[in-house]
Amino acid sequence: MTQTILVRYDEIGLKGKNRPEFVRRLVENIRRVTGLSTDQVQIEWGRIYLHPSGDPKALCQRLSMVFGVKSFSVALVVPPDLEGMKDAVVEMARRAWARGARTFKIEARRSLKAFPLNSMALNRELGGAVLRALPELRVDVHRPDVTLEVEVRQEGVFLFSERLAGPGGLPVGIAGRALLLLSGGIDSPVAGWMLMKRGVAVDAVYFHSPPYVGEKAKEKVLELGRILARWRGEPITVYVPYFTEIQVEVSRCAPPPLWTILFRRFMHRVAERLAEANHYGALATGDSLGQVASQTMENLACVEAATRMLVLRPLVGWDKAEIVRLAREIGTYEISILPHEDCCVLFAPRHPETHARLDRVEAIEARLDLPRLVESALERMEVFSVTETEISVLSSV
Amino acid sequence: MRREVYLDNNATTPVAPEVVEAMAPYWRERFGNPSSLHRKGVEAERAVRASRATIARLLGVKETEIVFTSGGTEGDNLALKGAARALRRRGNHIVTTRIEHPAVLESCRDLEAEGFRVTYLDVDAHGSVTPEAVEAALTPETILVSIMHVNNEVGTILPIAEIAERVKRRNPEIVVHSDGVQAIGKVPVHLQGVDLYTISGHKIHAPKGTGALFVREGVRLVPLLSGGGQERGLRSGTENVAGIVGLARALELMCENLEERLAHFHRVRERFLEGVRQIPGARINSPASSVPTTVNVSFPGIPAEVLLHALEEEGVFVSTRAACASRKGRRSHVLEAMRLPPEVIDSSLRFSFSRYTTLEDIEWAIQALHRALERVTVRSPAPSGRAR
Repeated sequence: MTQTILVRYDEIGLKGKNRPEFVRRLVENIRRVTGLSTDQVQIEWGRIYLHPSGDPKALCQRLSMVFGVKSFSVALVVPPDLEGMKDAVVEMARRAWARGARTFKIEARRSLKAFPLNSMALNRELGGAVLRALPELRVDVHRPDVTLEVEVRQEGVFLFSERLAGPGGLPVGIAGRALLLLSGGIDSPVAGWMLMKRGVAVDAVYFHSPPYVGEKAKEKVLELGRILARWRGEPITVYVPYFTEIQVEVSRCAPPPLWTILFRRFMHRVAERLAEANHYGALATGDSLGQVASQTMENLACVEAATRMLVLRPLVGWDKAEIVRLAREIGTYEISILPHEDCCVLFAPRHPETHARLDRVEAIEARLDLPRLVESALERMEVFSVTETEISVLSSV
Repeated sequence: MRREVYLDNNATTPVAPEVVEAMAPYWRERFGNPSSLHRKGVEAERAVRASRATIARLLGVKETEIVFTSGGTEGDNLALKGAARALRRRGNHIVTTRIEHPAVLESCRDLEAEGFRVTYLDVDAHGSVTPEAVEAALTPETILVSIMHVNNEVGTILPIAEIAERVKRRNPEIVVHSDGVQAIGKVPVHLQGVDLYTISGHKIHAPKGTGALFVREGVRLVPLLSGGGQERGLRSGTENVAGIVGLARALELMCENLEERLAHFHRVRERFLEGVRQIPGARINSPASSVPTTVNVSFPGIPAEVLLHALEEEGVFVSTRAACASRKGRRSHVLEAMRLPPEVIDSSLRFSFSRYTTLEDIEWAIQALHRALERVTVRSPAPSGRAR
């Protein structure tokens, strides 16, 4: 009897040429986070089998965070021989009993048609074996405490009693690369997570404006980056442009209600420059329609008009409560609510414009030296590489 | 290398080289557990005893009256909760002030939840309370008075000797505690009348995680920790031997030539104040009679956190309690208790000096302050809807 982890992925929507690419990427991502060798990963039709060398617990932990994994089970593997299968299913029943299960059912499936017993007969045989070994355990086919699943396949017989949930979605990297505008707030890391779930490799840009904002705000964003890197399963790059000059200049030239819009237009411009230079296919933000003044439809349109690149807003229709719930689940919430603000009160207008008019905004920008300001942000940019455990400087000023 | 001037010594101080040197052997070869019966244990025990003797001598108290702790917070918790719980049968009233350190204020909140009643005394514009005000707050139910010796945010020296005397004259049974964390090495310490006195190591160039509580003979405390019964049962847990040695050495250094050093501190402060007075609009919040190592200044109109970061860019490290967003509830409770206007509180910075602060450091800091103010005043906009 050996232990194997059986990984299931969603096949719906996977057609033709997508499928091998999907599986290849998923396997690559699983191997990266688990450190398994090619020999330890077996790819069969519709399934991936992992053969860990030690305790599978740590591996399960990692798998539950790999996008593209729908569910997985730690399975016993035996040869297609009825007596051996009975021993294995009894062993599994014993473990379930020890965990408190009092009722069970057997759910056998046979894809190896050469096997002499069909599913019904298998259910009967194996159920009988369990009842003989553990007379106190009872059968309940409707709502059993534990379902003992048995799959008779070409590659062997797999027995398991638990299906652990993966995050679902598509393997990271399969849907391109995006640059996320990451603030220290609750929403933007969740937006990044949503896109990673759809297979996007997400890197981040954070706009820093010392001395109006302190080092701790930047640290906080890098901490959020660590969580995102854990989900992505590989290091993420965090670009930190220098935003001070833009903020100071805008606040000198523009009426306060328009500051936020102008800041955001600049953020998008700087991000677009970064995205073009580093081959990202889209920008991404945590905008949620109507949540704050800068997120009215007019204002979003006004910001969007500053750049040509696709802007993804996965949270656009979400309520704050929904965003908070997901933020808690994925582990960013506790960091996001730390006190360090990413925008100084000096640059936060008391009465921000809620219906910005593009012509007015553009008229103000005409008085600014846009290329020079964008350049000022990039010239003094720092770049970090962030993994689950480490933050390292790629370049600094 | 770019110059760095550290003026946040009320937050923490660098460990003195002499202290590091004194501690090192107790991490390496003399690493024993004082409770062990063999030579290694005896060696460590001896070091703890010698340190205790040193500290007792410097504070003018008995060796048996020193309890080693992990620092100021533990000292305050042990003093307040330990004394209140031990005295519960005699009464349930505690007197303290609004400007205490959170370790005292939060301990009081915990005690309120246990049924004790706490009076939080208002302070005057200098951040002080009078002995009369303390006496007026006493009731027949009062069991404990806790008044800090030196305030950490503005540097006010509170008259604890007079307060203790008044309280004891009224009722000698009342236990008097004082948080002396910011007083050691900055004012001469005489503990007459005070029953419990908290000191912390990392504010006086010993490492973090070290401290002591003076517990006058005869004062009963209920311990916070259960365990091996170290420190006469008041603080179970294997002694932090190296830390204790470091604390004693640091205290020794602080008390050596105290007069001379105080004179130096006064020169440093004078020079600093001179420089600050040249700055239009600057407002000094520390009273003239405060400890010379703490100067709290406001630059109304400039959010303190912005100026702090601008100074940081100049290599000068200071402190503020006012956050950039200055949301209510995050303002300094000390400055609020002194009834300073919001714009003064929101723009207040604390500069705190140590024995290593030189007059050149102060020159540099003053120049840096000018540059930083120039930067944030000239370039930053007026907050909307409010002209400056």
